[in-house]
Amino acid sequence: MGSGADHGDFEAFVAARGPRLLKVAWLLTGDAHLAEDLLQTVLAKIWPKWHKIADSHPEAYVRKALVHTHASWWRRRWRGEVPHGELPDATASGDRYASVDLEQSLADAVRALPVRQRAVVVLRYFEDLSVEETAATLGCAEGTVKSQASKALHTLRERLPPLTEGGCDRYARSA
Amino acid sequence: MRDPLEAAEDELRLVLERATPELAAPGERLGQVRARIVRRRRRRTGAAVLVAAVLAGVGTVLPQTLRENRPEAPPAAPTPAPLPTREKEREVRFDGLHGFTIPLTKSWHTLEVPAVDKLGAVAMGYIGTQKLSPFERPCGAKLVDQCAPVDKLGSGDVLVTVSVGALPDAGGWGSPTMNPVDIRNEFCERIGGSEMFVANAGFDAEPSDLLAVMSVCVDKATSAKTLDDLQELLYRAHPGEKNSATAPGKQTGGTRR
Repeated sequence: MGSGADHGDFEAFVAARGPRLLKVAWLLTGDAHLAEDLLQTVLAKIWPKWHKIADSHPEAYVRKALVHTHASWWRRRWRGEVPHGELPDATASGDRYASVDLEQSLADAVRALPVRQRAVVVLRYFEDLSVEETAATLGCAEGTVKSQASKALHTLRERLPPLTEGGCDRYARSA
Repeated sequence: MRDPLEAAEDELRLVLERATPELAAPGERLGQVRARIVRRRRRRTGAAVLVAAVLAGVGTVLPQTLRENRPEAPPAAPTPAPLPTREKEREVRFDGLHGFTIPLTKSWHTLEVPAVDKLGAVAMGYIGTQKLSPFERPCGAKLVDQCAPVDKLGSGDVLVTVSVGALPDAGGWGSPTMNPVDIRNEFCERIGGSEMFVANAGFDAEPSDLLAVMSVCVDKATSAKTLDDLQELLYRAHPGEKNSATAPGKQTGGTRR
């Protein structure tokens, strides 16, 4: 493995970007435990290569690795889809119930998407990548990204209340 | 009026941002990552030993996928790159081996021997603790890939033989961890080595992934520190820039990084 300095950089990267990358993993898997498993799998893969990617765009590299590793899990059926285990806290406020409801709806909705469409949704609409960047990350044509995004959007509009019931402002979390 | 598709996309962005939960990272995430790396390497030890068995002749039975058309040229010392990553280190790049690059301290010597297509001999790289002498192939050895840049290993010396070839889906496969080879190896015996290790590492590359096979022949007096130092260097080896190693008009010595 790399030097102590390399490890320090790596640890700093994980500390800084880990929360966001974990969200990406959650959107890909729809499950908190699988998300952590996916992220750790990818971090273990990139650690030995860290000295090569640290100076370029490590987050893009990790993001790409997340998407492709998740796709390989999917292909190999190593991971079964599991129900979301997080339940609303008994003393949760109305806002918290609303956000847990939305979280659950989102988890259910993304799990309903084919794996490629999930990846497109995460990259295009959560990571805000362009069509071109998304295509480059997935290794597919820009037209494929557009068509997959369109299909995914159609599915999500059917499944996600905020997209079908006049906007998501009512789900805004309290400050 | 606003485009309905854009509006839906914006709504989705908002939902994703608001509904994606803030998940707590486990306190020992990096510790768990380290444990995964160790487990992965252990799992691959079996595979590495298998590769070692296949490659026991040190290049004599390299698969055809590792053999490539390379111009015949006299042996040349690899180009030291002027970008040291650590104090007293230099990066050495083997241009004929897909730009295989490894950081080395001054005490290590290197030699690159180009492929000889008519003999079916692939390009080889050598890294040793003693001075390495260029040689032409064939060299009088029974097999062309048993030619060596030293007559005999000195006391406490090490000789590493490196070959790199294109191998689909090799990226991420293998491990640079040195694994002992229990079977007899003529190449290593010929130069007086008492023990041999093999490490291999797959790299993501275009147009094809690369597999580097590193065979380590050691003298019986070689210290554990020398092997530890070598192991650390092997972990940091990597293929060079894909465009610079094979760019037309470049000299055999390659491009400085």
